[in-house]
Amino acid sequence: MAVLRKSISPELTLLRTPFFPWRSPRQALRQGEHEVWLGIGGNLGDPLRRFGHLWHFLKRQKDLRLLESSPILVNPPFGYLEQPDFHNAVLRIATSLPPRRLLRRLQEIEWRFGRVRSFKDAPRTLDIDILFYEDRQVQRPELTIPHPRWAERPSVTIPLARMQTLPPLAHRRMQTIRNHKKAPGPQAPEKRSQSMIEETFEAPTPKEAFALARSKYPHVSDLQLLRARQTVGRDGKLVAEITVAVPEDDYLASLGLSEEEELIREMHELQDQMERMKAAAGIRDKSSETVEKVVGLLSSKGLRRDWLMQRVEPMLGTAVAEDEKLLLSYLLEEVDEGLRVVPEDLSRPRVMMMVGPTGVGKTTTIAKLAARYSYLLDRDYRVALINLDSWRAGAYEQLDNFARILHLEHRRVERIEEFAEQLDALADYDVILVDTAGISPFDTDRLIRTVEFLKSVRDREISTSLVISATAKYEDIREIYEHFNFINVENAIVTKFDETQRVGDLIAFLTERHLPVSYLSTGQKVPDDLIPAEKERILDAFTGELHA
Amino acid sequence: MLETQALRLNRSRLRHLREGEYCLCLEPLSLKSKHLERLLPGAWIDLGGQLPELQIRRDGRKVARVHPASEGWYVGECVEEEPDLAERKRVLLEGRIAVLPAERVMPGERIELPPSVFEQVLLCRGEEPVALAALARCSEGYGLQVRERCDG
Repeated sequence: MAVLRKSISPELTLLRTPFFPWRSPRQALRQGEHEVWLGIGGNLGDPLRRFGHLWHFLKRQKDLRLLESSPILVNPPFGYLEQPDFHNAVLRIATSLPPRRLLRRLQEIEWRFGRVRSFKDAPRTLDIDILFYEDRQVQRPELTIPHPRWAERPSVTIPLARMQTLPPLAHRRMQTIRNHKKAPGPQAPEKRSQSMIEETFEAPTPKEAFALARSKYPHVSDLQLLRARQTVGRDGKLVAEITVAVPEDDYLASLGLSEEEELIREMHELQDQMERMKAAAGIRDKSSETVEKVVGLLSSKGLRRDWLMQRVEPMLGTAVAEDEKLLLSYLLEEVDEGLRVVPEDLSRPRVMMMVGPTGVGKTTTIAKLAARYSYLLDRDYRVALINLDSWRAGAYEQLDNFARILHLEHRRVERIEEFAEQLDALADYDVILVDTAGISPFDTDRLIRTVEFLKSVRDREISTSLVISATAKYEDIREIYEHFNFINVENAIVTKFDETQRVGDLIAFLTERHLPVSYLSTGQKVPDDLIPAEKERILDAFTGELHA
Repeated sequence: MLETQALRLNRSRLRHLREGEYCLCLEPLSLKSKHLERLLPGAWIDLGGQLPELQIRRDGRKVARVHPASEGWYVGECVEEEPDLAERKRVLLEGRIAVLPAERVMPGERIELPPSVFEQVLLCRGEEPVALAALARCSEGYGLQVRERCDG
């Protein structure tokens, strides 16, 4: 991903990526929608990548519509200082959620992105704050809007100052900054006569608060104290709050906003307007050729055109749709986001049932899993096998010889009521793997039989994996999935992953249905050629295919 | 196919037997040192008219006898024996057949193995694999036919 870095002070750096800053071509608010500004931050792992993922994630949400993102500011931590630098940005979204529901929704997203709330100012993977909710003011124990400290945090003010649309409640201050930047140099008023900005500082005592102001503006000799008051903070402690008047020039310098950047923003705004006008007039331009080329390439590799176009649509009229590499990386990122994998978890006893069509490699997969759990992991798990396949000649014997050589318990179940009995008898085992008859999508009798087996043990926790072949076509996989899905398929095990160089059909299906993958089978060797699913492995196969 | 894979895995486990693991073996064969070099693919080791005793061994010691029955084998009384010692100018070869889970090593426990397992007996000198051989009937009774060398 291309990242432009610009140092705006010894401690602060601004980053520009393909998605930060970004502006949606669809700016109009729909009925019932409200405009909200969110502050995002994080300093653990790879914040740039996480911000990218968040951007893609928000682009797919119906209740949170992304309108604009600011550049990213890299800035030192405050409070607890023994931690990496923070990355911060501001997002403008449209949502119909009221403030408190929005807060809960954002907390869900934080949780999804791995944030664990620990102590104040602790390192974090992703923090999302509501800065402004239109021009509303909310005062509740759990939520204060506008964010009480937005104006004193460079992590908010610097990215916010670079956005095209500002919150109404911050407008006066931020607009003053912009107007000032547009004033011609030689005719600009003297520093003494220029307007002043009010800035508030908080500290345990007024003296410390004033010291903070002094340290931020060491060159301002006569920092004017306008107000001072003491309040009780949310933690019940007294907080001293002072407001000082700061000359605009010094305030602007503290934001690091340059005239050049203001010009770039205006150019982008003009470009956006032109793109929208062109799109409205139906003029084909470079971006539509790029879109056609990239979408054509990916659809020729198995991804579905309508799925691709749904993702490309919000990009139309932006720089992303004009650059082939950017658009391709954006779409691959979408694929990455859509793919899900399930980690291997044997921390508690499990019953795992394999279902799938004939000839897909269910029994071999069971053998691989059995051998893997028995011999390949941190400890030797006790594994038992149950065979429900009474249709295929030799189905039981094939697995039985395998089980005998490896000394695995293997039971055959022919009658529905025996299934529960055998599960009870094998209750001491760590893992019970259940093999079922291969069922073609047209064989309803066998499917009903499998459903009856499952119904007979509905009080137990059984995870069902659909075994599918990587060589199957999209329509076939979809048909198989729809056939089996009413027995609550939890995840997919992909077999024959080594036998094809075309995994686009598989990826298209997995991303569209959000079906997580648990294992990949990559060859004949038992158990070596069965690996827990990794996104990278699936994506590598696909990107390798793109280069071919 | 699955049986072939199970045999391959069994072979691999026999080669890398872990400390304390139980293994179904032929009673150790005593060979003259000089005969070790002649164990090339196709060569026979004559075992005489009777099938050699099957034993469960652990860390080079016999821990139980295994008795043949009409269907499969049964674990006999467990014993604690001293390690076998080779005579002068001779070596002992342990014929490993299959790794057994500890819970199967109990008197009276049945051991079920398909015949194919006996087609790959791993001959080891101490912990060092020497050759892979098939247990088979021959004109004089039973013998081990070497399939491949495993050392070096």
